[in-house]
Amino acid sequence: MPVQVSPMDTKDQSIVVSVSGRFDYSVHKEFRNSYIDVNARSYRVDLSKAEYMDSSALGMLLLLKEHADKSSATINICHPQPMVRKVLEIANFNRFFKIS
Amino acid sequence: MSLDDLLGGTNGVGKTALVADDDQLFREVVSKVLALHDYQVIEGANGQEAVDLYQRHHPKLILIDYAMPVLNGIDAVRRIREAADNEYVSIIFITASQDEEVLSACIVAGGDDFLTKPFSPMVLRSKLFAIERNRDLYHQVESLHSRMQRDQEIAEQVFSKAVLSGNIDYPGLQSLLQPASTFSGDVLLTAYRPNGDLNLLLGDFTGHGLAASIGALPLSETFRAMTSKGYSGPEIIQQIGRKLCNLLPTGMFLSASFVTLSHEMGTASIWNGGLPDIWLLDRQAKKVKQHFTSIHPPLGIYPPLAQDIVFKVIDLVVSDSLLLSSDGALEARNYLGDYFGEKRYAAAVIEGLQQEDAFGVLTRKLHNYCNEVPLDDDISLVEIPFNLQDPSRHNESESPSDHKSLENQNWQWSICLENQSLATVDPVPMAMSQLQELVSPQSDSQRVFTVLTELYLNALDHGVLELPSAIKESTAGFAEFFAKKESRLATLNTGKVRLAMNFKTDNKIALLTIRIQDSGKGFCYSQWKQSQSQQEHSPLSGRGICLVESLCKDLQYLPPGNQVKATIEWNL
Repeated sequence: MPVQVSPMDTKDQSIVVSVSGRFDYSVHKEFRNSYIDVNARSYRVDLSKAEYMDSSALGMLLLLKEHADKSSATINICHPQPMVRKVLEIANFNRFFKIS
Repeated sequence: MSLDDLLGGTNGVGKTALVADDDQLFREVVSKVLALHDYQVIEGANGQEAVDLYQRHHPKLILIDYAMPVLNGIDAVRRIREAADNEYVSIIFITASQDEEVLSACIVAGGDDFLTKPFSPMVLRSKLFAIERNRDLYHQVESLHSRMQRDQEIAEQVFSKAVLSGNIDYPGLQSLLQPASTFSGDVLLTAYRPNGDLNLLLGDFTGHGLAASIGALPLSETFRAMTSKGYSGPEIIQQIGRKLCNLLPTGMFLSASFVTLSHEMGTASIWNGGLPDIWLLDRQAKKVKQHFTSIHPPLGIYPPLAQDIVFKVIDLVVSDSLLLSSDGALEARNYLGDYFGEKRYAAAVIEGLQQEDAFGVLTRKLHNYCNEVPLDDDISLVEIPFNLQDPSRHNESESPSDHKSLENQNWQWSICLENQSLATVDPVPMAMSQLQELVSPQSDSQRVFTVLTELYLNALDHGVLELPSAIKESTAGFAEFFAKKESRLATLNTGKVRLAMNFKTDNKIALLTIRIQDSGKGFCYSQWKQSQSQQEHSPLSGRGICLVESLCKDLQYLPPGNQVKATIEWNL
């Protein structure tokens, strides 16, 4: 499965969504389903296994942000590989997301 | 629900089935079952007959025996599939054996399913139902597909009429726009400002296909309308950003690069929001001079702030050219799934510079790399050479029908801006559209626009904001100059500029007087002129005033030097 989601951590009310392989339009349904019924305090998006990311994927992150903003939750984008990090940098997404 | 109900719901009126078997009794039994379900049945006794019957009647369903004389079932089905081309036909093999190899050969040859003898009428009817269900799905997909294709064709026409046909023919500009699906999310727009500057925007909407192109119409409209009125790059980008924010749903946006080439000033103003680096190439020294990295998020996510849209201004020489690309170029893949990537891109550009054809070599390398592999994303590449001559002047088309009768005219128009209005309002396009409406000065609008822009900027930058023009003497100083301007504008709370135009006609001659007065201390024009003439090379600063002087009939600075009066004259 290209998109995997951890069960909610009861301590800090967080979930981790991991994307592997190509992060593009083909996973948009799975990515959305991973968080849409979740009401977490923080969302971590683990991109360590994503080898590619296109502009549709950037759009999916913005949709996650819209969801998280409704309950003032935080989003962390973690461990992007160089090529994916570059895509995030070109889009200047560090202005909207914490990227680590 | 029973099978009878299901079959009753999908009756086969007008449908033909072919039964091919050398066993006559078997054919009769099967035909009866089919006839019960409203199939018109035709029968063949061997493979060759089956092929002939298919070509004559084009049945939608074929039940065919695996082992038959003259031509066996496998070969017959291969020929039928060839003859069917894209026509939908369901083929069921009848076999006597359960041998796995026989069964798989049936499917490879083009069969959809198989039945092993002996079978009951009930089993045959179940298969019929499954086939009907698949056929319905197939027809649904087919009709959706053709509807989608028609929509795409319409959209493509609208797109090429509204978006592409408005582009100008800039000498030497080379571009490649290769869509991943028929309709592209990449957009290239070009237009001249009234002063002859070239405005160019390369944009990439999220995703591709029809949905990605929704924004292209409002984008091109805003770009063209504002460019023709003389608005600057930052103002156009800000307006496009605002518009797309209202229009596009969350998750959709526009990555874009914007370039303004000024022939009069010999400069390029460059902005990159979300696209790969723009490259400045030196075609003579055959090297890459500079990169312009994306410094802003794509447009359409949040309304952009004015102070956030900062253009880089650089000086250009004739051998310079700018290379722009969308991310599709770097992310194109070969048949192994490897990306074209930055290294190959850079190597192709360097090789291209050596061969004096950077664009050609790059597009060929990219093409060879992807070969026949379908594209994941649109690819766009643009190279803009810097031309010494102003190409817009040669393309001016006079339309005499627009001429108004301009005898005995006399009018005045003015605007006064104070404090923060100076940071947010650009009076030059307003003045231009007044002039356009009242006079339509045709080819002289370029001259008027240049004079208005230069004099207004002098009043604002040096008069009100007290920015020393000496900063601009080095290329690097431009950046510092613009940074200082931004910060001073943001906190401006005292300051005033008044711009007035007086137009009159006198015996077939039009006379436009422009007066601009600022709240600054003023400067000594005659002293400044003297210092200019003593310098051997014309410095980067002060080019504006020299230019204005050459365009006006008369230019005067009135004491204490914070008021300027320029007169422009042309024949009616």
